Amino acid sequence: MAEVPRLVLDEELARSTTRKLVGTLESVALVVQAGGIVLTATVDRLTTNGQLFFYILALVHLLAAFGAHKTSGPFARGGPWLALWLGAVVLMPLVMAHLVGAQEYGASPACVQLCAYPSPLLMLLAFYPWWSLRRAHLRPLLEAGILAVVVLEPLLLVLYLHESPGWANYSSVGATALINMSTFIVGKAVGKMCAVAAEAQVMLQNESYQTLFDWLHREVKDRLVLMRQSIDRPDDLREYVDQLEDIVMRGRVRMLLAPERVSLAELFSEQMRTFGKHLSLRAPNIGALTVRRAVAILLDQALADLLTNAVQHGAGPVEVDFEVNDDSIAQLDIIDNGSGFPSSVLDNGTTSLYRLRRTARDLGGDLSHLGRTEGGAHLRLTVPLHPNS
Amino acid sequence: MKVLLVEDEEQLAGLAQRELEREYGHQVIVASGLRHAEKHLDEQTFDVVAVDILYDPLVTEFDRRRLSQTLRPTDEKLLASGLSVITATLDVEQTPGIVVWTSGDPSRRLHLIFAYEDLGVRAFCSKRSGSGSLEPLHQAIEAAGVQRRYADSILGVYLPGRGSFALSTTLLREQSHRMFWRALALGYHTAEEIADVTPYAKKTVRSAMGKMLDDLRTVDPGVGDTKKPQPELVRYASSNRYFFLDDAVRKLYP
Repeated sequence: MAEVPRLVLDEELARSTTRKLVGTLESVALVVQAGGIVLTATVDRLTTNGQLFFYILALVHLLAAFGAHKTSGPFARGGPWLALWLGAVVLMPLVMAHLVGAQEYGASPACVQLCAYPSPLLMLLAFYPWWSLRRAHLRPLLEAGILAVVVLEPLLLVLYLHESPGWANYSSVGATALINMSTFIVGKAVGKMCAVAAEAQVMLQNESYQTLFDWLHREVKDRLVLMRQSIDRPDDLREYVDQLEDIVMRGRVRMLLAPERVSLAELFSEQMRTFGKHLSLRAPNIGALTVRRAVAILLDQALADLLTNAVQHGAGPVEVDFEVNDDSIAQLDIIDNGSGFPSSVLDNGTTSLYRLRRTARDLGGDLSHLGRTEGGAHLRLTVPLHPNS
Repeated sequence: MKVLLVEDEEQLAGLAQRELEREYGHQVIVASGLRHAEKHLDEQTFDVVAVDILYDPLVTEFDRRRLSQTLRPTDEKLLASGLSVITATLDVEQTPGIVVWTSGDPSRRLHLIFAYEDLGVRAFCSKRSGSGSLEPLHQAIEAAGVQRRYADSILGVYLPGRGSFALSTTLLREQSHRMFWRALALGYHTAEEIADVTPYAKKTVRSAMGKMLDDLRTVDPGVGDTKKPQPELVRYASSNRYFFLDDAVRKLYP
């Protein structure tokens, strides 16, 4: 027995996907930080050396952003590399306090100097895959720890640097805490939105899978029971095997029509297999052509309807021809030697051919009945490969 | 006729062997994969070699390695398939006739075109003929034995149509493009990732994407024109990864 393939969405895949998501934003985060640093160097009261230091620091951030964009930054690399981000966030208030002077740090009630520096980090951390998924319960602790450091560090510095801190100092620290916690909450909300979108997609896929599974399970199981019961009756057994084969074929076609692009050869192949039992078919070579789902559904329906028609009218040998004109119009011809039918059938709203033509026209194509002097029927279906052609 | 049947599914191979011998008088030797087939081809002569395209154990093992993300497009061995058996058969001095005996499905469609265009195979027979009989395989073997064309209507649709362009002049025409297709098929999707695992610079990868889409649209006019070729290329490479990473294709088009 062939091994059943596993559907893999393992921990490593989830981690690498999230890292990719976060990694792409990393260079943007570094640019935002560089902007904040330049603003500080320009606005805050710094010594000349302090200003120079911050301009150099801004340049370092821009270079890091460039490096993260061109290769990958600490977030995308993961593991110990994260220490670079965390270290910078922890060190920055200390450096700031040193460069602006003890009494200046946290003196403005708006917020402490360079207060938004940790924001990009907090935003990204909010949905970064901390540790392994198996230790997810530790995540809140880690997040709380980092938030506590970001919020408490300016407070401790203010308490340490100011002999008797006033309302302006506390307001400064409070505003800093508010800004950073808000950013973290926004990050969480973005992460939640991504998760909801992913869950909706998974749910949709599960429902489709379940529908298909139930259908196959019910139909296939019924036939297997019937086959087991008729094991001593070869004619019945053969009939049930045929039915089972048709069921599996329909299941395959259903799955085949699920993706956005469909291999046309596969569709034709399935129909040839089904109708080859009842008709002498001459099939076209399709090669590597794929078509969008709507066109595939139309062509599948056309083949099924037109070949069923041919079987019902005892058409004998049937020629199926297919070509693509001007790289843009698919043309399917079905020619048989049966009793033929009048063109008016296509205008009769109760027939499958009428419905087929209506669908073809909705897609910008048509179904036409071409006359044959030697009898039989020649139906031609055309449909644009692309919606705008 | 003396037939080498290369098929990894034991029950199916046994059944086919018995029926081909009993009903049609062929002498059938079964090989379960590439190595067995090569051994038989070294030791004996055959009139016809009937080949399945993909072998489940090899595909399963390949997928396991692929998901571990340790594979590179330049690795010496990635995925051996029936195409390798066909190239080994073509190396035999008195080349036997070749029948491709497989189920047609999207993961094999480029293999079938390649077998037709580049390896000169002209006999194609579906494993799932619908009748359950091995008469079509017998007919394909008879045809291949005398170098006559044979393609049943189920596999025939996979062969290149009128006026279509060969893979060798489109998807496989440039070495750098082949390397990028392989990287995409292995799951390296961005220019940065592709440049990391191939000997080409990111700039080269980026500038090649548009041309690769043009080539793809030449092979498959159903692919739409788009200003962002990468998602379309990723989709195509993923759905045809067994072809792009096939060892025989890589050997002929390094």
